[in-house]
Amino acid sequence: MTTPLIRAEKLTRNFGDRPAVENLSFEAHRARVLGVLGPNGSGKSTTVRLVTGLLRPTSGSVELFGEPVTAKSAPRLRTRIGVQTESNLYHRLTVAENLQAWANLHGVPAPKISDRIDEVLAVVGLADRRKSLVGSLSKGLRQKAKIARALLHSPELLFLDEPTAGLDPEASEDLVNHLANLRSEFGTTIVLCTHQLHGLERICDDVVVLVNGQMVAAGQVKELLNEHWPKPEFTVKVNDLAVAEQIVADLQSAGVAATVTTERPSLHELYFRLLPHREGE
Amino acid sequence: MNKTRMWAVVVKDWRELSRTKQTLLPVVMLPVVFALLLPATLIAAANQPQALSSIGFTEAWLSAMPGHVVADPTRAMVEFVLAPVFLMIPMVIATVLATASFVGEKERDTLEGLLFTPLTDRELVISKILATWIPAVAVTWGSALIYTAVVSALAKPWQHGWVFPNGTWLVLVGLIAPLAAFFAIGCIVLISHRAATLQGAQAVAGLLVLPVILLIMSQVAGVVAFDAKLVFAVGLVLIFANLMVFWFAVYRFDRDRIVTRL
Repeated sequence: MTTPLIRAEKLTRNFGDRPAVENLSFEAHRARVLGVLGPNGSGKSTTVRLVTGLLRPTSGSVELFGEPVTAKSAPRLRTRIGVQTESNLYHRLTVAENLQAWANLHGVPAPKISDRIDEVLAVVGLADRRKSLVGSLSKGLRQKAKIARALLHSPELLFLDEPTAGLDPEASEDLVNHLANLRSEFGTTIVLCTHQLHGLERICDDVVVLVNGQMVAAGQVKELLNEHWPKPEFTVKVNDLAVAEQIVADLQSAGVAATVTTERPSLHELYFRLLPHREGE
Repeated sequence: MNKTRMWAVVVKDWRELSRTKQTLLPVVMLPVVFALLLPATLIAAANQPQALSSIGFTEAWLSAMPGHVVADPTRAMVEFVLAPVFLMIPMVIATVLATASFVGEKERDTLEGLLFTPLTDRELVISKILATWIPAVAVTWGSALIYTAVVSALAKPWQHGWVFPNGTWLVLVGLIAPLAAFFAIGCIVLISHRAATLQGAQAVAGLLVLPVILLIMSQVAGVVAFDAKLVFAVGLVLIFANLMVFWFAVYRFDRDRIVTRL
């Protein structure tokens, strides 16, 4: 396998006597999605801050793009990453002014900035809010603007902290699809920090699970699922109860464990059915 | 240092500051009050000896003035009494803008986003300093122009054989005032490491103007006169203080410490 984009080795960071993360080792590879999962306070944000050079590790080391993250290298390495966190945009500036400042900070060539802003706003569905003050946007629209800010300079490595928080199901689905597209078409590596998966699990290739700053699991999603559920279960779907009961009875008589459960579409599916038909679908 | 990145921060800050009423108000009101209304009132009073004599402390402050202005209270007012105001204006404006810029980022929870960008620590802190220092100096120089116009219109120095602005004034406004603004901003950078709210930072920052107020009071009480010697001494103190503040504010600015206290 090629050099990982992120390599954390026995990473520990203490705040006073309390370890925020302890002995954390993981890797993230090109064109893969790494899910950093864990409940509130498990150390997800601290991990991102350590990897991006905002915090210094108490012990252990981090490499980004094959280079050790130091006070000197971190600013240069940050030109290649995009980060969306809970940190706010500037409410007194318009969406476009916020993005323009970020484009300049990340070295997007001046003639390309306006077009690039249009592109990312179209991706997140904010094209009509370009001139709106961020302070006038709803929470969900601000979240979209934050994601647009992280995508603006086409980073090789994207850190997203609870990216679907505040988004409606339709926007969440669009975002997940766009992230999958970034990975497959542009080879972008994505690190998703979340405690609410909301469909994000669909695109996670690898996962690191944190609890109280400790890593309780890490590896490829498929391998971890096989490890924890070595014997898969299968589902046969029929739309007639009598037929289902007959099949289950036959299976049981042949010594196969089988049950009948009634499955109805979820509220989530109902919501999408009720939404107006979207273009391209 | 990357000038494009630094300029992006400066422009972003200017846009934000220009849309904040709490910040704009002192920037507009200070020149109006201290470069226009107050000097106009005092010069008008100084032009009328009978009105001046009714103010009890005039003898005290005139006693400390150099010999060549003792006989001309208007000139004493223009050249000496109002001089410290032009230390106060840059310091107050720098304080207001710098607290909004540095501590405001923390209070509005926008600072972390900026820390994730490719800005180096030094680029970040210097661009923030420039974003507040440039307007503070510009407003001070604008105020000095207004003051010069008021003096020319009301005191008419050429009719009394003196010239305004004189050399001491030019040094005061041209060199000492920018140093005072820089000192105030540097102190705010240091305060911002610990302060989490604008109110808290402004309460501490208010103390910065105390030495200037002390200077004004001392002059009114007849203890000192704001002459070339004093301007030179204040300049020396500020240069030394600025070197100290610059070292602490810029060289000791540390992302890790800032993030830990967010």
